[in-house]
Amino acid sequence: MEKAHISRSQKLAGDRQIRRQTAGFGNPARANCDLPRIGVFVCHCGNNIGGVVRVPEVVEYARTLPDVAYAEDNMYSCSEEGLSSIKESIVRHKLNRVIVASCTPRTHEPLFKRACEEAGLNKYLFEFVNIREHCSWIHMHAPDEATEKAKALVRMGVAKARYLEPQEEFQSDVYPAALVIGGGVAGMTAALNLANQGFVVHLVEREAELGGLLRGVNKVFPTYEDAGEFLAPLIQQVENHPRITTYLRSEVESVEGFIGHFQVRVTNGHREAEFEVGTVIVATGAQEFKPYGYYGYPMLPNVVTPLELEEMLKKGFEFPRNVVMINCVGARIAERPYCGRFCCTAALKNAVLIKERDPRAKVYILQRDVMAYGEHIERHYRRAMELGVRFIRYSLDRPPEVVGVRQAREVKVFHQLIGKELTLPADLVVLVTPLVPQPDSEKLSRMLKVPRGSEGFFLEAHLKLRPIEFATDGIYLCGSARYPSNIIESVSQAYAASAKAATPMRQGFVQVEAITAFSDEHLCTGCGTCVLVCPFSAIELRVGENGQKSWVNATQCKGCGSCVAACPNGAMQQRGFTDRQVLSMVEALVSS
Amino acid sequence: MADTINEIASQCDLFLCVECGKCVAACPMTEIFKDFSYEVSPRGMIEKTLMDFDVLTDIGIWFCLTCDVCTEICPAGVRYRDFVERVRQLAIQRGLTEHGLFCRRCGGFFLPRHTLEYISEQLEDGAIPDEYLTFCPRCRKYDFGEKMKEAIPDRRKALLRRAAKL
Repeated sequence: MEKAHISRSQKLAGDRQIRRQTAGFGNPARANCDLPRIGVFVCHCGNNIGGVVRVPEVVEYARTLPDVAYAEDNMYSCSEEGLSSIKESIVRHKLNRVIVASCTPRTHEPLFKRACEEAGLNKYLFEFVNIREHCSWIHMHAPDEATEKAKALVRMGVAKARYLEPQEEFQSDVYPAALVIGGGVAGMTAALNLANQGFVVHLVEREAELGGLLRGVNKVFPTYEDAGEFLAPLIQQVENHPRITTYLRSEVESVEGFIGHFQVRVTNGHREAEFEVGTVIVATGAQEFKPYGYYGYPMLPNVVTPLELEEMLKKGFEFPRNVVMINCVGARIAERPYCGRFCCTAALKNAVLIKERDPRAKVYILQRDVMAYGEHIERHYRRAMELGVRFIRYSLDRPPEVVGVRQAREVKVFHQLIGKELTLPADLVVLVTPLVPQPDSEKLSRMLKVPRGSEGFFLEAHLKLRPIEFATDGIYLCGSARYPSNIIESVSQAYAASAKAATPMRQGFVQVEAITAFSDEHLCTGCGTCVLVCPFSAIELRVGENGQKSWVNATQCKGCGSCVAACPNGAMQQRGFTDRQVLSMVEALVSS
Repeated sequence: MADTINEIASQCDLFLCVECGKCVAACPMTEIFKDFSYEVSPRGMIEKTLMDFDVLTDIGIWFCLTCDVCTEICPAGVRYRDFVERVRQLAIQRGLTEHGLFCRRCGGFFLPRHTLEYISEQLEDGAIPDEYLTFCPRCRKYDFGEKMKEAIPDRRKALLRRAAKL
């Protein structure tokens, strides 16, 4: 049982060697930006550009532009031959700016930048001009105009290159400790995974016990083992782990800082604890929706929620004969439009348990759709049908009706296909409700400066490609805090989030983006517009000698440029895209 | 009674029905009977059975031709024809015979009344003597062997006339 919790990554922790990045970052000292000597390399890209644009003419034109010391054309600039030609020219002609006019920076910019670096030039003195996607491909039937456009694009590139400045990349160190917020199955798994890899973990749980929602569950799907059977060893491992500090009945008071150095304050009402961590994992989970006002809940004692049913099944008393479950209570409606994802599975599981306990029991599941996806759940859907669980589809236009004064006696439901109202005897009515976000998730989202979706669940950086991290570096997400997740999903997300969090901590540093925004103190009025638009929470207002001024944390800045566009005073500038650089391009365009 | 129906339903895998309606689309009865509806279709009958309606007295079970196309097409594996046949047997045992047609000679069930009505409609007047249809096919052979031979050419003509019209 214990072995099962040790993942492969944890086993590797002991003998894993960290190879620090030793490759150079060019020689920033060689800034040589006094007198620009620009080299222009125009690429034929085989027939892609050369077949439309008259490349030699463009090269000839480039030579006439101010500060251009050298220009040539290559068949393929990205080839070994083309790259070595660029490197040689940098040395031979003492070039201190390089322009390649070819394809898209998406694919080849890193390649050319590396070539510059290898020739001893700071890679930020390289400028890319796109004359393939932006020119030859889209104007393939107009070679004359395309050639003119290519010239204009090169002219703009040259104009910008004259004002290019060398930039420096630097590293920021990461403190090898993590904060895990939430002690449910996701939080515990993440904490354990990190701790087994050798990191110090601070696990904060609001309740008096670890375990989260799973503590209230009877048996788990699809193995039908007791939830406690695998929860207990997990809790034990977490509690006994030398590197995990557990804070029970505690809440996170404040989190300040950025990746590598978060200052955390945790309080349990009486005492406070303060510590530093490098990364944060949000595993706050969710809560069961209590359907007050739906179908006589909570006035009728035999109308219950799934967790209450789990509790009844756990106790195992004489179980009622006729059970009616109403699915999608409070879910997939205008107010709460999402699907609870695993409530159908839980209903199927409990229906099977009831039928297995007493085959004469009648179990009806009133559904709007049965979300029995995947191999296991479909099989259980079939099993439930085999055992005689009956499924009736209802519509929101004519929802079921629970009849009874002191107790629910029967449920009336309109059968859409038969076109009749059926009356089902009911000793117990289960309102199958979805999970809803924690009521204080807003507080946490403000504290960590991470976003929430319209339903109140936390929002990841990218729905498909970055599902377990926030846009803000160093803060990760797993379990039902993102959306209602079953145990399998919670555990795998926890492994993913802890692996993600381990990466910078194991490396010991993070590479900081060089193309960042910076604020001109003399122009900044401290209005705070930049703070509001920054999606990475990288800007703050600092009060100094000259009053309130904005300050960009270069470690957190991703160089998106939102603040630069938003600044009403032009105080915000972006390295590599300064006003002077961009406006000189515009001037070059309009003055032919 | 309901328990027995439930047992039959369970043995014929009615609970596997996913209400896709392919059986209804495939059922030849949809074209033949004007009063065919969801109520008497395989899907409707399955749903009513699962919801504990009294299908024994339901006319729906007498609509089926037992051609088995629904079983063939069912993606979930419901055996509707087997179910219908066994429920009919049960209904006859219980004396619920108003929708069935029983042989005048041997007393055995041989056709639902609905089907007979359809056959009589299709046959032109006098193509087959009316009394033939009151006997089951086997008894017809015994009692009307000779007459049948005479009647058959006429029937063939009638069929050819119909084919020409189409």
